[in-house]
Amino acid sequence: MRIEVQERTKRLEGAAKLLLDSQESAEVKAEVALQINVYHTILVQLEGAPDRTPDMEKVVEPIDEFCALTERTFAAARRH
Amino acid sequence: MSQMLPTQGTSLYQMMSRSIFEKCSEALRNTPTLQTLALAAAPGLMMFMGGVTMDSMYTSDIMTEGGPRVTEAGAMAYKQYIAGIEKLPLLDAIKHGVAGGYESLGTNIAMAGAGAAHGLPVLALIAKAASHIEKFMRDKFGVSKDRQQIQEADFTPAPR
Repeated sequence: MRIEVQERTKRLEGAAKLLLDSQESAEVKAEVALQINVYHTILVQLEGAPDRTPDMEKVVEPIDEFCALTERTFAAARRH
Repeated sequence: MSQMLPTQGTSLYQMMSRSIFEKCSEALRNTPTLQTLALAAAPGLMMFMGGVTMDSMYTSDIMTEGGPRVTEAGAMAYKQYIAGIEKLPLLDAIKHGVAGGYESLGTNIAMAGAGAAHGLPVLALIAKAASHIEKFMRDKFGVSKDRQQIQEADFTPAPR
Protein backbone atom coordinates (compact mmCIF):
# COMPACT_ATOMS: atom_id res chain seq x y z
CA MET A 1 0.00 0.00 0.00
CA ARG A 2 1.34 3.39 -0.91
CA ILE A 3 1.55 6.06 1.73
CA GLU A 4 0.34 9.36 0.43
CA VAL A 5 2.56 11.68 2.39
CA GLN A 6 1.55 15.01 0.89
CA GLU A 7 -2.12 14.31 1.24
CA ARG A 8 -1.63 13.32 4.85
CA THR A 9 0.42 16.41 5.61
CA LYS A 10 -2.37 18.55 4.24
CA ARG A 11 -4.93 16.71 6.33
CA LEU A 12 -2.75 17.04 9.42
CA GLU A 13 -2.47 20.76 8.88
CA GLY A 14 -6.23 20.96 8.58
CA ALA A 15 -6.56 19.11 11.87
CA ALA A 16 -4.14 21.55 13.50
CA LYS A 17 -6.27 24.45 12.28
CA LEU A 18 -9.39 22.84 13.73
CA LEU A 19 -7.57 22.43 17.03
CA LEU A 20 -6.46 26.07 16.99
CA ASP A 21 -10.04 27.26 16.48
CA SER A 22 -11.47 24.83 18.99
CA GLN A 23 -12.67 25.47 22.51
CA GLU A 24 -10.01 23.23 24.05
CA SER A 25 -7.92 24.78 26.81
CA ALA A 26 -4.52 26.27 26.06
CA GLU A 27 -2.65 23.44 27.75
CA VAL A 28 -4.53 20.83 25.75
CA LYS A 29 -3.75 22.76 22.59
CA ALA A 30 -0.07 22.96 23.53
CA GLU A 31 0.19 19.27 24.28
CA VAL A 32 -1.64 18.14 21.16
CA ALA A 33 0.35 20.63 19.09
CA LEU A 34 3.50 18.82 20.18
CA GLN A 35 1.95 15.53 19.13
CA ILE A 36 1.11 17.04 15.76
CA ASN A 37 4.69 18.23 15.52
CA VAL A 38 5.89 14.65 15.97
CA TYR A 39 3.36 13.36 13.41
CA HIS A 40 4.60 15.97 10.98
CA THR A 41 8.21 14.92 11.56
CA ILE A 42 7.23 11.32 10.88
CA LEU A 43 5.60 12.27 7.59
CA VAL A 44 8.65 14.28 6.55
CA GLN A 45 10.85 11.28 7.29
CA LEU A 46 8.54 8.96 5.39
CA GLU A 47 8.72 11.16 2.35
CA GLY A 48 12.44 10.53 2.16
CA ALA A 49 12.27 6.82 2.95
CA PRO A 50 13.21 4.67 -0.06
CA ASP A 51 11.18 1.62 0.97
CA ARG A 52 7.84 1.49 2.64
CA THR A 53 7.35 -1.42 4.93
CA PRO A 54 4.32 -2.78 6.79
CA ASP A 55 5.94 -1.39 9.94
CA MET A 56 5.69 2.07 8.51
CA GLU A 57 2.02 1.56 7.73
CA LYS A 58 1.50 0.90 11.40
CA VAL A 59 3.16 4.18 12.29
CA VAL A 60 1.02 6.07 9.82
CA GLU A 61 -2.30 4.53 10.82
CA PRO A 62 -2.53 6.48 14.10
CA ILE A 63 -1.89 9.72 12.21
CA ASP A 64 -4.99 9.03 10.13
CA GLU A 65 -6.84 8.13 13.28
CA PHE A 66 -5.81 11.36 14.94
CA CYS A 67 -6.95 13.41 11.95
CA ALA A 68 -10.29 11.58 11.92
CA LEU A 69 -10.74 12.15 15.66
CA THR A 70 -9.95 15.85 15.32
CA GLU A 71 -12.20 16.32 12.30
CA ARG A 72 -15.02 14.44 13.98
CA THR A 73 -14.65 16.35 17.24
CA PHE A 74 -14.24 19.91 16.01
CA ALA A 75 -15.72 19.99 12.53
CA ALA A 76 -18.94 18.60 13.99
CA ALA A 77 -18.91 21.19 16.77
CA ARG A 78 -18.44 23.94 14.21
CA ARG A 79 -21.55 22.94 12.30
CA HIS A 80 -23.72 23.30 15.39
CA MET B 1 5.61 10.77 37.42
CA SER B 2 1.90 11.30 37.11
CA GLN B 3 1.91 14.18 39.57
CA MET B 4 4.09 16.08 37.12
CA LEU B 5 1.57 15.95 34.34
CA PRO B 6 -1.07 18.52 33.53
CA THR B 7 -3.91 16.08 33.77
CA GLN B 8 -6.42 18.27 35.61
CA GLY B 9 -9.42 19.16 33.53
CA THR B 10 -8.52 16.57 30.93
CA SER B 11 -10.94 16.55 28.04
CA LEU B 12 -12.16 13.50 26.20
CA TYR B 13 -10.41 14.77 23.09
CA GLN B 14 -7.12 15.08 24.99
CA MET B 15 -7.44 11.55 26.34
CA MET B 16 -8.22 10.10 22.94
CA SER B 17 -5.43 11.95 21.21
CA ARG B 18 -3.02 10.71 23.87
CA SER B 19 -4.16 7.17 23.32
CA ILE B 20 -3.68 7.48 19.57
CA PHE B 21 -0.29 9.07 20.07
CA GLU B 22 0.76 6.24 22.35
CA LYS B 23 -0.20 3.77 19.63
CA CYS B 24 1.92 5.71 17.16
CA SER B 25 4.96 5.90 19.43
CA GLU B 26 4.59 2.19 20.14
CA ALA B 27 4.61 1.47 16.41
CA LEU B 28 7.64 3.72 16.02
CA ARG B 29 9.51 1.66 18.54
CA ASN B 30 9.02 -1.37 16.29
CA THR B 31 10.19 0.46 13.21
CA PRO B 32 13.96 0.74 13.28
CA THR B 33 13.96 2.03 9.71
CA LEU B 34 12.37 5.23 10.96
CA GLN B 35 15.07 5.65 13.56
CA THR B 36 12.93 6.09 16.61
CA LEU B 37 15.38 8.07 18.63
CA ALA B 38 16.27 10.50 15.88
CA LEU B 39 12.60 10.99 15.19
CA ALA B 40 11.75 11.58 18.78
CA ALA B 41 14.67 13.92 19.15
CA ALA B 42 14.03 16.06 16.11
CA PRO B 43 11.07 18.04 17.41
CA GLY B 44 12.70 18.20 20.82
CA LEU B 45 15.82 19.68 19.34
CA MET B 46 13.87 22.39 17.59
CA MET B 47 11.65 23.04 20.52
CA PHE B 48 14.22 23.29 23.26
CA MET B 49 16.85 25.16 21.36
CA GLY B 50 14.24 27.40 19.86
CA GLY B 51 12.67 28.00 23.22
CA VAL B 52 15.89 29.12 24.74
CA THR B 53 16.82 31.44 21.93
CA MET B 54 13.36 32.89 21.58
CA ASP B 55 13.84 35.13 24.57
CA SER B 56 17.31 36.12 23.53
CA MET B 57 18.96 38.12 20.82
CA TYR B 58 19.09 35.11 18.56
CA THR B 59 15.37 35.15 17.88
CA SER B 60 15.64 36.43 14.34
CA ASP B 61 18.38 33.95 13.51
CA ILE B 62 16.33 30.93 14.40
CA MET B 63 13.32 32.17 12.53
CA THR B 64 14.97 33.25 9.33
CA GLU B 65 18.13 31.23 8.91
CA GLY B 66 16.92 27.98 10.37
CA GLY B 67 20.21 27.46 12.15
CA PRO B 68 19.59 27.61 15.87
CA ARG B 69 22.49 28.76 18.01
CA VAL B 70 22.66 26.84 21.18
CA THR B 71 22.92 28.49 24.53
CA GLU B 72 24.31 26.57 27.46
CA ALA B 73 20.87 26.24 28.99
CA GLY B 74 19.46 25.03 25.68
CA ALA B 75 22.15 22.42 25.29
CA MET B 76 21.51 21.19 28.80
CA ALA B 77 17.76 21.01 28.29
CA TYR B 78 18.25 19.11 25.06
CA LYS B 79 20.61 16.64 26.72
CA GLN B 80 18.02 16.02 29.40
CA TYR B 81 15.32 15.64 26.79
CA ILE B 82 17.30 12.92 25.01
CA ALA B 83 17.94 11.21 28.33
CA GLY B 84 14.21 11.39 28.99
CA ILE B 85 13.35 9.89 25.61
CA GLU B 86 15.56 6.94 26.38
CA LYS B 87 13.86 6.30 29.69
CA LEU B 88 10.30 7.40 29.10
CA PRO B 89 7.75 6.55 26.46
CA LEU B 90 7.60 9.36 23.91
CA LEU B 91 4.25 10.64 25.10
CA ASP B 92 5.43 10.89 28.69
CA ALA B 93 8.57 12.67 27.58
CA ILE B 94 6.45 15.25 25.80
CA LYS B 95 4.12 15.67 28.75
CA HIS B 96 7.15 15.96 30.98
CA GLY B 97 8.51 18.69 28.74
CA VAL B 98 5.20 20.53 28.67
CA ALA B 99 5.03 20.37 32.45
CA GLY B 100 8.47 21.98 32.74
CA GLY B 101 10.30 18.87 33.73
CA TYR B 102 13.53 19.47 31.91
CA GLU B 103 14.46 23.07 32.26
CA SER B 104 13.04 26.40 33.21
CA LEU B 105 9.42 26.88 32.29
CA GLY B 106 10.27 29.72 29.98
CA THR B 107 12.21 27.28 27.87
CA ASN B 108 9.60 24.61 27.87
CA ILE B 109 6.61 26.68 26.99
CA ALA B 110 8.33 28.94 24.52
CA MET B 111 9.69 25.83 22.82
CA ALA B 112 6.42 25.17 21.10
CA GLY B 113 6.61 28.45 19.24
CA ALA B 114 10.02 28.04 17.69
CA GLY B 115 9.65 24.32 17.17
CA ALA B 116 6.48 24.88 15.27
CA ALA B 117 8.13 27.45 13.06
CA HIS B 118 10.03 24.61 11.43
CA GLY B 119 6.96 22.44 11.05
CA LEU B 120 3.43 23.34 10.13
CA PRO B 121 2.89 27.11 10.29
CA VAL B 122 -0.43 26.71 12.07
CA LEU B 123 1.37 25.17 15.06
CA ALA B 124 3.12 28.48 15.66
CA LEU B 125 -0.31 30.07 16.04
CA ILE B 126 -1.32 27.46 18.58
CA ALA B 127 1.87 28.03 20.53
CA LYS B 128 1.22 31.75 20.50
CA ALA B 129 -2.30 31.21 21.75
CA ALA B 130 -1.01 28.90 24.46
CA SER B 131 1.92 31.04 25.56
CA HIS B 132 0.14 32.27 28.66
CA ILE B 133 0.07 28.78 30.11
CA GLU B 134 3.60 29.33 31.36
CA LYS B 135 2.11 31.15 34.32
CA PHE B 136 -0.48 28.45 34.72
CA MET B 137 2.23 25.82 34.84
CA ARG B 138 4.35 27.81 37.24
CA ASP B 139 1.43 28.26 39.61
CA LYS B 140 0.46 24.67 39.30
CA PHE B 141 3.80 23.00 39.70
CA GLY B 142 5.56 25.64 41.71
CA VAL B 143 8.60 25.68 39.49
CA SER B 144 10.49 28.93 39.45
CA LYS B 145 11.59 30.31 36.12
CA ASP B 146 15.20 30.80 37.11
CA ARG B 147 15.65 27.20 38.13
CA GLN B 148 18.68 25.80 36.33
CA GLN B 149 19.02 22.33 37.78
CA ILE B 150 17.08 19.41 36.42
CA GLN B 151 15.57 16.95 38.81
CA GLU B 152 17.07 13.67 37.70
CA ALA B 153 14.89 11.80 40.15
CA ASP B 154 11.86 12.60 38.04
CA PHE B 155 12.80 9.99 35.48
CA THR B 156 11.45 6.54 36.05
CA PRO B 157 12.46 3.57 33.93
CA ALA B 158 9.85 2.82 31.31
CA PRO B 159 8.89 -0.74 30.47
CA ARG B 160 9.93 -1.60 26.95
